[in-house]
Amino acid sequence: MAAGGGCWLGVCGLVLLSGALALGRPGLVGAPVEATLDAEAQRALQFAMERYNRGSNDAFRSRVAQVVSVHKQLVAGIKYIFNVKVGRTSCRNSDVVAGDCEFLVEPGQAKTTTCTFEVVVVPWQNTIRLVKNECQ
Amino acid sequence: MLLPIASLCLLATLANARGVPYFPPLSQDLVNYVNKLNTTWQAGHNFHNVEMSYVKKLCGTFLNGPKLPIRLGFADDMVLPDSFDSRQQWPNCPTINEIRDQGSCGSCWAFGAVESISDRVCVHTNAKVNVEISAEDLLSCCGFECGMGCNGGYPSGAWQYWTEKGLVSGGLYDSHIGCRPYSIPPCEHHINGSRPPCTGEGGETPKCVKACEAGYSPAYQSDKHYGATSYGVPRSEKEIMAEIYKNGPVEGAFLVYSDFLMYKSGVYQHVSGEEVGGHAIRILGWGEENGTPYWLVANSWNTDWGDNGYFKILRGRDHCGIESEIVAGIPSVGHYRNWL
Repeated sequence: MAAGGGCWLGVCGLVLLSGALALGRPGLVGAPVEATLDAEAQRALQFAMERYNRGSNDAFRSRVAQVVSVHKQLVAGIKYIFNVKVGRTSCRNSDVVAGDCEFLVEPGQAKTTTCTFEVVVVPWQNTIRLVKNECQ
Repeated sequence: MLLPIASLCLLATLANARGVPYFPPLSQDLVNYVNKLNTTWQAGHNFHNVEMSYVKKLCGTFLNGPKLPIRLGFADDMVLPDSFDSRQQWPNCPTINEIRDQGSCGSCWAFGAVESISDRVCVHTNAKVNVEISAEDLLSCCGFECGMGCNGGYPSGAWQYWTEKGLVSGGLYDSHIGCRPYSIPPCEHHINGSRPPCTGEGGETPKCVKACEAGYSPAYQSDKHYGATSYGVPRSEKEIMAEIYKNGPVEGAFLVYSDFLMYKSGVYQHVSGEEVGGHAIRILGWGEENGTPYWLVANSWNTDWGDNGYFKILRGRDHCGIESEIVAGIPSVGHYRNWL
């Protein structure tokens, strides 16, 4: 998802340059916009992490260590685009976990991965889906 | 952005980890709120909304696209009806009745354009030519002139591209209709749903393939349909009405607030929720409902959204900017010499 991230940066740069701020001018429609991690976005991110852990072969569960950016985009629904740092915790991935697990800190065990998650929420269908899950 | 990770994870734990179906009963509160307001529209169920403190900085939303010439006014001499529905005015133009689905791609700008262009080809050929103009061709091939593909685009650029490079035919996803049907699937996760589940479907901008789908003839280049002119419509209720009345549906854009996503019926006006972003649509008529003037509009979120895919929105007050970004154009009818 490097290309997409680059695109946003590009757009933001251009916006700063243009400095245009009036609604009603011809403009990009359907573009991702910067968003806050409100409750709705948090649920989307939690859904992404749950799917991430479910699809992971790692014996340890991971959780979000840092949210780098949140964008949202109007598609046929709302697409949340997260850039996050994900850390490995001491909990077993198979465990049912009631609270936060401690991050592993010992060298050789600690591991942080940068991920892009894209989650599409379609409110009128009551559906949510993870459409992109890219980690490096 | 640094976060209160502890609270995030607490919330995460409390939330439903299975995800489908997903929304908490909280949604009912907002639906009830809108419906008890006794406003001009009704909300549907299942929408969940919470205090959304969206950042108002709409990164990328205000980049100007190509400037189209503004069409001269002609509404003054025209007697316009109180209500008008393109579907009834041009019953032999089936695309006017069509609701498409943009999927998980920010291609509303392309849909508003190709839907209106398809309608106009029919209207301007007296229903001799019926074609679904390809959203795929516009979305994938227009490039920077139209913006950024699935990451947003300019309605004005779309219409200009139609006059310069033309657009081939192409129907809905998996329809095998036309040269280049849409390649991004509509989605639903209902177990017995009629639409496919979309695992791994990311809404990336499709590749510009200058060839038709296998089994379709004629060839790509000879399947192109061209616009003779494209223009902006003056920011006036009467001029927009005159444009639709005379030439067919137009593309418009407006600012979407979160309450719009739960629209079911009536005349929408913003009452609650924060900005979600700019959105382009096809306007096909107007009327008045219980004394409230409205535009009749087709969305590109499939038929299970809103009023069978359509909505009505307050007319005459540039509500959410709906009257300020109208673009349109006239098909190159000479191109259809052999059809007429």
